[in-house]
Amino acid sequence: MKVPITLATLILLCSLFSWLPASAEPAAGGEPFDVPGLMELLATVSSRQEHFTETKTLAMLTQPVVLKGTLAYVRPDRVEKHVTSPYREDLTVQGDRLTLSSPKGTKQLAVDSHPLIRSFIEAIRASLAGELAVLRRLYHIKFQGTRQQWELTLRPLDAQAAEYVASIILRGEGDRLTTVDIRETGGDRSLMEIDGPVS
Amino acid sequence: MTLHARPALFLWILLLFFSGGIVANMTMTTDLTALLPHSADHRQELLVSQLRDGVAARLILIGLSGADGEALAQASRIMARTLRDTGLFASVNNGDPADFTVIREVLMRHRYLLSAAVTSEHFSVTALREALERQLQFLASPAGALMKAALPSDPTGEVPHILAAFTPGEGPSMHQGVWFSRDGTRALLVAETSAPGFALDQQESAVQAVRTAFASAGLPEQAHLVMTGPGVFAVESRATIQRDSWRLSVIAITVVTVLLFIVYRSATPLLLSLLPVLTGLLVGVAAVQTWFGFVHGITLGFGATLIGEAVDYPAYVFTQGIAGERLQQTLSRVWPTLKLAVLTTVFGALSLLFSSITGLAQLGVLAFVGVLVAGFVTRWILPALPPGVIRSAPHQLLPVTWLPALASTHRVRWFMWGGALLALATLAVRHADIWDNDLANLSPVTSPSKHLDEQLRKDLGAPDVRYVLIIEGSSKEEVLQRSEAAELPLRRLVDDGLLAGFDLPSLYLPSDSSQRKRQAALPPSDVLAASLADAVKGLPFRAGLFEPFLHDVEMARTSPLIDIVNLQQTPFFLKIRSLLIRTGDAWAGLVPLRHVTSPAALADRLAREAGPELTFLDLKSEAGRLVNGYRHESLRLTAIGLVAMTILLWWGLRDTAMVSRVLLPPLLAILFVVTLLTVIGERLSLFHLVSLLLVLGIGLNYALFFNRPFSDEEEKRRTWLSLTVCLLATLSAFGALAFSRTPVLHAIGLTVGLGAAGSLLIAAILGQQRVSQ
Repeated sequence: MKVPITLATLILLCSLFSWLPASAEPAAGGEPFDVPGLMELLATVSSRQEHFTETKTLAMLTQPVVLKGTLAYVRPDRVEKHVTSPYREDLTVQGDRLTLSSPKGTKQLAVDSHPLIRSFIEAIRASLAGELAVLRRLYHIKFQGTRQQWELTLRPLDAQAAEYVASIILRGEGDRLTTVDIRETGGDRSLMEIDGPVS
Repeated sequence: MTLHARPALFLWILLLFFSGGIVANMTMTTDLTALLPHSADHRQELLVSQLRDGVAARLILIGLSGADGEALAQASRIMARTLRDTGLFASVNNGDPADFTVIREVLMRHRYLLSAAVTSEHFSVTALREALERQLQFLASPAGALMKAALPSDPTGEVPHILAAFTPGEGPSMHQGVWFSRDGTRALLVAETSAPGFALDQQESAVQAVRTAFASAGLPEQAHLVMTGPGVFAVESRATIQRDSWRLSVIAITVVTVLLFIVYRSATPLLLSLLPVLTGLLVGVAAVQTWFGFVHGITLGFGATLIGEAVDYPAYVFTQGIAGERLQQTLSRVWPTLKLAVLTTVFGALSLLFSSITGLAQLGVLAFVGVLVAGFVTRWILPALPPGVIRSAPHQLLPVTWLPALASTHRVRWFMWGGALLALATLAVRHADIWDNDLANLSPVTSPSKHLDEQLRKDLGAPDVRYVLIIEGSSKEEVLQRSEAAELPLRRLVDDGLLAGFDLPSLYLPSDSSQRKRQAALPPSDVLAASLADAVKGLPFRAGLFEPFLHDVEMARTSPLIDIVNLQQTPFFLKIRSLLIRTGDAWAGLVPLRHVTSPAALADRLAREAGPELTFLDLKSEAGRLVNGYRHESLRLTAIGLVAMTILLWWGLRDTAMVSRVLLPPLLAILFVVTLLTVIGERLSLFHLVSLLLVLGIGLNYALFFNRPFSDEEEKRRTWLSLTVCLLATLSAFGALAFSRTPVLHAIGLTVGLGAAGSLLIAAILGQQRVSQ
């Protein structure tokens, strides 16, 4: 008997799914705006690094858990999430490889090794890369807002992923991602707010 | 037809009838273990148990490629399902997490008895606090989504802990939710057959089932299936050998038939020629079946070779015939010599008969009975059958004088003796290179296949076929305790990079003593509730969240211990049964090792750091030792047989010089063949050895006939014709085998071909010496 992925690995993997953007030139206001337009806009950003604060609200807990750290993106396929508080953990996606390191050790695996992992990661990576085709293959997409203030709602199409995740809502201003809001099927919620570029 | 021919015919028909009946109902086996010596030593017993029950020997590694990842993953799932439904497999695994739920349930149910982390410390306030903080961190990560469900029952993380022990390291790569090769081009599955690796017929059904499942997995035309594993290789080898030997037999039979037809110019002697050897084989096999209760496939294959010389018997008679003469008359001239030819072989086989090794004893019985019966048929049946009269003298178109011509100069003799000395010297220098102890060299598995197997094994982290640890003990409990004790030393060896991983029976079924210890370490519910209340202080867990945990621990405190029986119907059952086996009164635990990088260093470290009850088994070298044992015994028995033959020859010929002239040709020929094979780098296997026994038989016959007294020049010419025909027939039959790419057939063909030619040549050279004196 082989165990495909240990729980611990899955857990580590999934911590990948937060994400952030950084600045470019301010967007022109007022004109009509849609998903392809947003994708085009995001695709112009080649790299960024920002601070984040992630607040998790869980039914099992009497008060939320708050994580702090930095997020970095380098076009087209590198995403890094570094948690610095209350514990240390680094998560890196490079192409289809996912690397997790903590003081306990390092693990590597394929992004597409499990539908849930893939859903989490691509929501962030494909959005930031402006890869609309990838998003359409994995999620049901809903868009609202303007170029100045937009909201992209992703619902996983894959049954295994949808079992856990109800929706992933990305909010932003122009080419800058400002929040990643994950709603789980059981009502738990994770809200990651991207606070600003690392100076 | 003479009067005494009637009872002979009657006896022959009776023999055919009874033997036919026995053979029709005989028990054929291809189980290698059936051939082993009764007095096998301890390690060999372990080897046998590995061959029979070993997990590694039952694995079929499957790779799918040639389509896009999604299609391959889909096909992998379909195939896994199809194969499971065939019932031919103990397990089929492709990494699909869906198949994993059952395992999680079993682990969840027995977690407090299975987890090595359970000690009394484990439930102290401090330890609980640490565990809860860890869980909080997990919850905060997005994987909390997956984790959450188990948290209220398993806050100390026993299930993940047990799982981590099962698969240390990375495990196979996953893509699209199933196992893939590292480069992502090949979907991978592992199937474990229910049948042992050496049950070739069942292995063949399993291989066929995989092919069928692949064909109906909905993959495009250009998709490609690869399979490796000991069973797969064995099945392929058998098919290759059968195909090869069938094709070569057809060639050999055609050539021999044409040859004999040219010589006899009639079909009757041709057909009659087959009677002795076929009758011999039939009765011989019947005798083996009666004596042993089963016939091994290998006995049958070798036996046919061993009694191959019987094909020559009728040739000696027919080629000696004079036109118009009755066969009976021809026989009366030839029989004294032919009788010795038959009896020498019978005496040679007699020694094998007493072998302690079942395989050799079977060969002995087959050769003993087969040759005796072939001689009987030649002497008494052939003349009793129509026409009974030689219609025309055999064709003399063959330039039979080549023999004396070739050997006519004195110089040749000196060359031969010089050559013999040189050969002896060569063998003395290179004696280490003579024998081949590696069974693998005889397998027709090509090196690309071996390479593919290595690749798949590495990608899958499948256990090594070659190396395994055996844990011995007088009881199941003792083996399990020792298995537990071995875990730590083994982990150290993994950390030091000597192997990639291992499996232990105690991971799936802890010893009773460990289970009891763990049970005793579980605190009573009021104590645990108090500790938990302390530990949870200041942490944001909702009140009452861990009620299921308190409940489950209390249940585990009083639950019965896990026994193999409780695990029936779970994926663990087969696992344990294959890792924990009963050997007579004792028990043994098997520890499959994954990717051993340095066997010597591993064996050394184990000897120093683990107990003596842990044996590191290198299946390849154990099998080599087994073959060695076979060889030593057969060599010893052959030597005894040779002495018997010498006595017999002396009794028959009453002439010491003559005996040496008869014995020397085959012995020198064998010397030359062995030297030649060694020089060209071909190492001698058991197959060569059996072939050499045939060379001895054939060569003795040549020398006997060459040295028989001749009444006139005509008879001498006829004898040369006999020998030429016999040699040509042997060369065409075995020469064809020598060109086979199958090592076994090649070995037999080359050895017998060279040996027979050498024997006749040397007999001629030595015989000429007598004439020239």
